[in-house]
Amino acid sequence: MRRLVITSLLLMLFLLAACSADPDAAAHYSQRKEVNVNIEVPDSIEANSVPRIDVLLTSDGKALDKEADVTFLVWKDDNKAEAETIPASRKEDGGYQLEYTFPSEGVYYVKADVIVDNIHLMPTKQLRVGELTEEEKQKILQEQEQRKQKDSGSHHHH
Amino acid sequence: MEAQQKPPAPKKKLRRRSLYQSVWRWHFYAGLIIMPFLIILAVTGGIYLFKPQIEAALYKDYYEVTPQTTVTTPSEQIDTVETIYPDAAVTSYRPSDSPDRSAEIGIQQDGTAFTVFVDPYTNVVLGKLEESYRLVNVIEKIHGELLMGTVGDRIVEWAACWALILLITGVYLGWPKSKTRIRGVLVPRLNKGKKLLARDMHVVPAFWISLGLLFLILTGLPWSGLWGNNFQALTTNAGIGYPPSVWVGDAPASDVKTKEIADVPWSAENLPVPVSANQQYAQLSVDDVVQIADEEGVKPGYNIMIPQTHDGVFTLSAFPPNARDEVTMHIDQYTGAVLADYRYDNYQLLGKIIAYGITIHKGTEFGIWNQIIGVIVCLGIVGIAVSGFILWLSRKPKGKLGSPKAPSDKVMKGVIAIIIILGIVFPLVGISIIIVWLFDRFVIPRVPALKRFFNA
Repeated sequence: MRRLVITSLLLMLFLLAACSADPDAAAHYSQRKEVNVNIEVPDSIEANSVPRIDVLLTSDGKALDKEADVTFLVWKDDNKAEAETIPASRKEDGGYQLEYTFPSEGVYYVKADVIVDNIHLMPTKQLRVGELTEEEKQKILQEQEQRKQKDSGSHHHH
Repeated sequence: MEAQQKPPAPKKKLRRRSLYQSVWRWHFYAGLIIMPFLIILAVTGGIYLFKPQIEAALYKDYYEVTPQTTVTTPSEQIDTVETIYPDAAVTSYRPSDSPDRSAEIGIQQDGTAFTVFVDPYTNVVLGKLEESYRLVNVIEKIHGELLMGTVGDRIVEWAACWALILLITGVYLGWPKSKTRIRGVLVPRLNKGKKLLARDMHVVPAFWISLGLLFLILTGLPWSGLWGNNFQALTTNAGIGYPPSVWVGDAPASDVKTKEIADVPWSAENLPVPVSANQQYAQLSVDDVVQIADEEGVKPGYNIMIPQTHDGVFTLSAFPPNARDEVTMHIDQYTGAVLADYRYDNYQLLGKIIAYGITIHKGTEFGIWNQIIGVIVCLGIVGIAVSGFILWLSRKPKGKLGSPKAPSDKVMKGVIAIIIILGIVFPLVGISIIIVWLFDRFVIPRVPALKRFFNA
């Protein structure tokens, strides 16, 4: 009797110890084909230049051999509604290039709309063209500070 | 007590009688302890079944909108909410799922979750509700954790497990003694005296309700905090249950290109302009996420959770009335790549069974009939608990609990074995069994008053 009680106690303790989900458990279930997308942009861009901007598609670390349908959208600041649509030109190395002249200094957004098979990717990259004036920088830093305070005010429960 | 008055029976019969007594004792302990919890669960559950009707009536002004020709985009609606509540963080977006239904935007304000209802045509805020004060959410909180957080969750789980013991011991006790005696089990005997009527008013409804109760316990347990989470983790890990992140397990992470992240505080909203780095990926707009959902064939009625960390994902989830329409989809917040797409068809067998169990438990799977049968079972549970209590009162001698005299240790072993198995499968039951057993074995025999009281 005593042995039975002790054995079941041990078993219970074992079961009480919280099991947690295995990070690799997803392998047991349906998985989607993964295509990674990168918008490659030079470290600095000058106004009135045509920088080399490429979209690279990879799958399992290798360049994707399938041809994708790639379109770029470019806009400045918050003027997304006036974005220009520019079709990509396919390069021999498999990348997709954006040919665009940035007309002035400032903050631009480049969105690549990529469709390959039934996969639809739409990364957007924010770019700084030229230099920001000291005044602009201060204004931005102030905004960031405000955002930080707001974040710490509203996200502390996470 | 009855056994004492009868002439000595053959040994086999005596043993059966003792077993009967010991089961009776355990049925009685369990019943008396968990009765109040069962009543609470049945009443709150019975109300919660009608959540769709209750919410549609309560929040009519927030839900209903007049269809018009032009619709605003999700991001325009979110902008409106951000303008009206500048100190809030937007955490989720639920597109309108029918032409006359508002869109819902989840916000966090000072650590409190609210839902803001927006008319998608006029982009006007219709109202704001605090999530934790919504009537059905309060009822659900009572049903799931008695408004006591983790402690309450464990109590509910424990009561549900004990209800299982009650059910098993009850079936043993109520089982017809001979094949012809179905009266008293299937139908009550109304003209055989008060004592038998009191018994039948407990046994007969219990027989009819027991299947429903068993179903509710078994389908409810997978979402309990301790046993349920362990069970879900085991089945998910073994590849036989829900895919990870539907119930337990983490969602995949967004691909963070770390070298490109500027040294700025991360925010779920618009990107701060880069000062130190000249380029960074921006988060997808909710409009894009809605477009992806549409392209992936997800029907409106889903909710989009907006990522709150660098490597978080947009999680699109729908748990509609029917289990087979469930969706959990994780989308990379920078590229829009669908990292995981789990529909009902992607659940493994046990996951599918649990999913159906949950929608039937909640009364949504089979429409109004599901709700009606659910509420009948709930009323039945209250009835059984009350009639069980009355039955005990009607039989109870003064100053005693009225349990049958304790059988010998040897006979008890058989019953104990069954209960120990339950105690191992359900650890919370196991712990409470040990406490009751210790009380039964060591405390009662040493205190004369208790010994008399428990008839031990």
